[in-house]
Amino acid sequence: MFINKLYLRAFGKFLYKRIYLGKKLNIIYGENETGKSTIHNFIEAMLYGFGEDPKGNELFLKYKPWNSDLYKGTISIDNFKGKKYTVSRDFLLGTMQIFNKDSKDNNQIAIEEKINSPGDYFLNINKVSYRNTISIKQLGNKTDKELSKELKNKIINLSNSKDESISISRILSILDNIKDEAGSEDNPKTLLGQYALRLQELEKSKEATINANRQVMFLAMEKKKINSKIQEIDTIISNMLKELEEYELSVEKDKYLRAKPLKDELEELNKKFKSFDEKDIIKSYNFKDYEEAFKLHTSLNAMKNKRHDLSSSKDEVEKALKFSLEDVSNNIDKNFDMEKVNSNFTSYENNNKKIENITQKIESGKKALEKFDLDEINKFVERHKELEETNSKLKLLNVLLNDKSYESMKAFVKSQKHKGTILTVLGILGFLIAGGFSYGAYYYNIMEYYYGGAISILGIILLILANKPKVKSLNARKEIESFECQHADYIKNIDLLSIKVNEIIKECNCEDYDDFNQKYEKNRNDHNTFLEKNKLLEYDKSTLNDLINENKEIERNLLKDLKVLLIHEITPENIKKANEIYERKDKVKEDIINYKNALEEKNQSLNKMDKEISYEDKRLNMILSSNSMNSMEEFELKVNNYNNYIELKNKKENLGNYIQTILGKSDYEELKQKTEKLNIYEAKEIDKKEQQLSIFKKNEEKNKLLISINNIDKEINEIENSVRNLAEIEEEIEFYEDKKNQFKERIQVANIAAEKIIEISDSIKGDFMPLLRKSISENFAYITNGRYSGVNIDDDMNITVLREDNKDRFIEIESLSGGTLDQLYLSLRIGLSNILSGSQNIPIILDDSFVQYDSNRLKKSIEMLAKESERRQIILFTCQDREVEYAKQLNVKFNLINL
Amino acid sequence: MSNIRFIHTSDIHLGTKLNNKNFSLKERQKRREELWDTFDEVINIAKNEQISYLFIAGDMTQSDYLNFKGLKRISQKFETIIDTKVIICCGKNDPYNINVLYEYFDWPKNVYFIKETENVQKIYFKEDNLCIYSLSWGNLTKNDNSQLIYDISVEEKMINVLLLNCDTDSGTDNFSIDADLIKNRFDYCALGGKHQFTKVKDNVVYSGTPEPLSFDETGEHGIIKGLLEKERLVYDFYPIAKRKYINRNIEVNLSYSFNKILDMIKFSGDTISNIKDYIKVNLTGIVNADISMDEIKNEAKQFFYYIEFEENFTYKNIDENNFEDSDFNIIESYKLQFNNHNSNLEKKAFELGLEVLRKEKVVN
Repeated sequence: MFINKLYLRAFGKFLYKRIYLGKKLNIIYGENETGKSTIHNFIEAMLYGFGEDPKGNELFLKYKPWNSDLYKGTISIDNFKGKKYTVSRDFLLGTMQIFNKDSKDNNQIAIEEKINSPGDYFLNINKVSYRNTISIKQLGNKTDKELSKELKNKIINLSNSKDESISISRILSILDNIKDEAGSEDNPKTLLGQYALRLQELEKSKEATINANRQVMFLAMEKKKINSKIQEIDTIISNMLKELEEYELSVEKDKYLRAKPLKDELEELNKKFKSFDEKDIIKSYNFKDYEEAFKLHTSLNAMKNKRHDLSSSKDEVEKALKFSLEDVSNNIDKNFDMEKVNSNFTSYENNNKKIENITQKIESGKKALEKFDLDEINKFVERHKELEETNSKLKLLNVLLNDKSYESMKAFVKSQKHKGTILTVLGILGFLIAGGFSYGAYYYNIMEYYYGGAISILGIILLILANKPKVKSLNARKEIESFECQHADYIKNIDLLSIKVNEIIKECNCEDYDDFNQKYEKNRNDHNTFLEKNKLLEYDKSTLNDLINENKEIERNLLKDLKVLLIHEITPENIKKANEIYERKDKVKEDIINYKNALEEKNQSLNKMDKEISYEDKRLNMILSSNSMNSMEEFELKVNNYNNYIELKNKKENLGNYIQTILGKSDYEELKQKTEKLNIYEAKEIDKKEQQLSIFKKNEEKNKLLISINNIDKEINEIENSVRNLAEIEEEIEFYEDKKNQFKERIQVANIAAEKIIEISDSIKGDFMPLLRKSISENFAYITNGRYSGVNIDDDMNITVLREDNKDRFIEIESLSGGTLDQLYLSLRIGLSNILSGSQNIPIILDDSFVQYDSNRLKKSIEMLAKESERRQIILFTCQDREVEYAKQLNVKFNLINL
Repeated sequence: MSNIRFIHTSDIHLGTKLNNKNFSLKERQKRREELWDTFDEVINIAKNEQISYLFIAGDMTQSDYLNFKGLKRISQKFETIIDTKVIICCGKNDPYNINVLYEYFDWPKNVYFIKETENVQKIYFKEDNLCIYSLSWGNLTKNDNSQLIYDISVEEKMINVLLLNCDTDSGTDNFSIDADLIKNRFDYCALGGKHQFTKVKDNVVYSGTPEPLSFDETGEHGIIKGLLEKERLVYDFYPIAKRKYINRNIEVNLSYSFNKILDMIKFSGDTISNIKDYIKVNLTGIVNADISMDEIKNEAKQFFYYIEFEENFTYKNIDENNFEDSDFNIIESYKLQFNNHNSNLEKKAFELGLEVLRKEKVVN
């Protein structure tokens, strides 16, 4: 295949530029800046585009036409698989089209098949390979030695990396360097080693910081403890200060309270002070006169009082005299016998007592007699008599009725007889005894024996009682006698009598006969007692009458005597009074004389005093008039007012001074305000100095604590300043750990990359190197017209060439001549392009490749190119005409394009 | 009663260790210092705008890394806003226990630390009719105090604010709170624990971190400024972050040239952001094996304050089909060798080998 036409519709400085190329050698000649490189780049851009890399961009901008809106062109390729193609590209739109030109009818058919890169399609090599192989740029002006070395390297590189510029050994060494640079943790000279060391240091720092933090924590705890102690002290101090303040305030309050009443008083004084009249303030009298007048006035008053007293006492004397003269004692004459009066009165009194006693006795006797119901007693006695009679009858009848009764009646009569006899004997005996006693009394003159005479009474009673059984026995005897006669009626009478007996008992409210008898005994005794008492009563009544008569006589005499003393009733009090009057009669008389004398004396004194008073009165009036005073009261008022004024003034001053002493330097109103709310009793009594000392001590204690807090703060500060921040340390640790890992990873990465590269290189060596050697050898043999038969590359990358004439001899590249080296180089290029393009004879483009060649070497090169152009299209860009000349000299067929 | 002006922030992580491996040590230090600057900025806003309450919902610091000096620095800042009450609840990264310096530091009087870790702590501000409920983390392990929060009985007549470092996503083990169960009881729930600003409910809000810390925390970051009164809440998100973390995706194509890819990176975002923010470019697609991505990356760096790349692209040999049989150059062969490389290591090996080969080619 070959490029037969370039159409630069608008590219770089070219517009509508058409270049037709020949199938064989084409020399495009143009001096510098005529557009050779533009055309060269046009070909590349048409085939591959500019590419997306920065270099591609650069080229895109470089060749963008400045004088056209278009940026496009076409390139025609002939003989590609026997067909013609045209590639059209619009660089602005980024579009590319390939047309197939039918050789028969010249119609263009756009290829439907999607082709990204015409270069790839037609040349079968990519852009990189295109640049490396078929586009041969300027060759360096190198010595043979340099050239041989370069060539050798290129072949070695190609053998290893398929790229003449890439040296596997160098790449591996770069990768090794990367690994070496990272090194290992054990080697302190390497980065990893240094990182490991740094990390160790950091761990130590971290530990130090953690320890320091712990220390700070303990110090902070300590600080807190001290702080709470300080707070306690502060509370105590504040309480003490409060107490002190309260105490001081209470002292002030005390001052205030003491000053207050005085202040109030002063206020009052001020008010009074204001009330003074001007006249009062000015002194308009003689004070000595006032004193004299005052003295005079006082003595005058005293005298007047004295006179008044004297007058009063005179009146009293007069009164007393009158009283004494009127006293009853003056009525007593010489014959008046007071003793007789008294004795009469005593008798009178005694008699009265007796009368009273007897009266009482009579009254009680009467009352005692009233107790006895005499009628009832008499009635009962009558009934008893009746009963006894009835009983006697009964007994008699019973005795009469039966023997036994008769006997018993007899016995009864007998017993009654005995009874009567005994009683009679006892009665006589009683009289005898009474007579004995009476005789005894008379004989022995013992009064008490007369009482024995009373037994005679008993004798009388017994004799009376003795009469009764006698009567009974007489009656019984009669009964017995009649009983015997009237036995027949007896039984009948017995019954009647028994009934009668029972009726009598019932009537008398008795249960039976015994009860009746008991009652009868009692009534009989009562009857006797009554008789006795009645007798005594009568006696008493006669005694009473005698006494009353006697007393009436005494009373008459007494009243007669007492009448003189104006007493008309006899009472112990009046008698006492009479005695008193009698006793004082002499003293009254003496008093009368005394009173009369005193009266006389008083009258004289009064006269004298009246005269004195009158004199002094006159003197006083004189003094008053000399001081223009109407009266002493006025004078006193005047003086008092003035004195009051002066006194008030002095008092005010004194009070003011006193208040000032109490208040000291304090102001009263200020104190009042300050202490208004304070209750003085709330303030605690304290020793001010002691309290201040305690506060001072507490403050000192607090200051010590504050100092220790300050020290702790300093210590904390020092500790924290001595270590690094934990976060920073940990960050740095992480940072270096990360770095370490990165480098470790980098080593791994470098290893992987190296492995891969070695792997590829080995594969290249195995696959590509033999191919390359064969292709170079063939082309070298062709270009040298068979002088050299081949190129050999051994396992150690030693490159030798073989001469056709001496195939056993391996010639070192270094010993080849420059021309041969050029041939070898071209062989290498061609070989490579053959390999890459799949043995198509693709064109070779040389861009000023021989500029630095001398003419000899250039000639040989032209020859070489001419030879090669037999096989493929060669496009040679040159800025000098030497190539054209030599081509002509050598008679080489070529297509010349002049720019 | 006047409105309560408040700022809500959280997750500042002062003093934290920066974990981005691609950051230089210097950058990490700088970023750590930027957290402090942002904290200062919050304080300045509180000061200038006379904010009454500053709510810090946990993770104010990274307590493992914060030293005494750091606490002093914070404390001094709080002292400058003595009229602002600072309520600090502790989070997972700065738990409150006897082993942290918080406990032993003497804080200014306007700072209220939530020291309760097992019971809900109530802080009353009667002058503002405000009651704050909170609970700090006590350790770094699991926290199951959720029920304590549900059991809170609020002061009906007061303004109730819940301050918590928790999770509102159900099913997580770490102090998960159901927003529906708290939204009606509190006038405002100032939450922390999420680094993105999130409005879970109108009154249940994560302020997010004021300064993001990784490429997981993209978008705007800042604080919440608001006005609070009983049953009335107004607030706004206020961005203050010094830098953003930005993720960008760039898909390349086999046909893209070196410059095109470079331009795509260069012009992927606005220029101001590029010279200020942290940019991470996720490169996907297929790259022509002829193009050195390393070179592109190095070129690109000069246009950014910070850029890093995630390499999810694959290299492809553009000529592989045409030259399968007649491969020539070792470079082409090398590319073909790695055609099916999947592992990162192989990819790197491929790049290294290619780089070395190309350099060799250029040199000669």
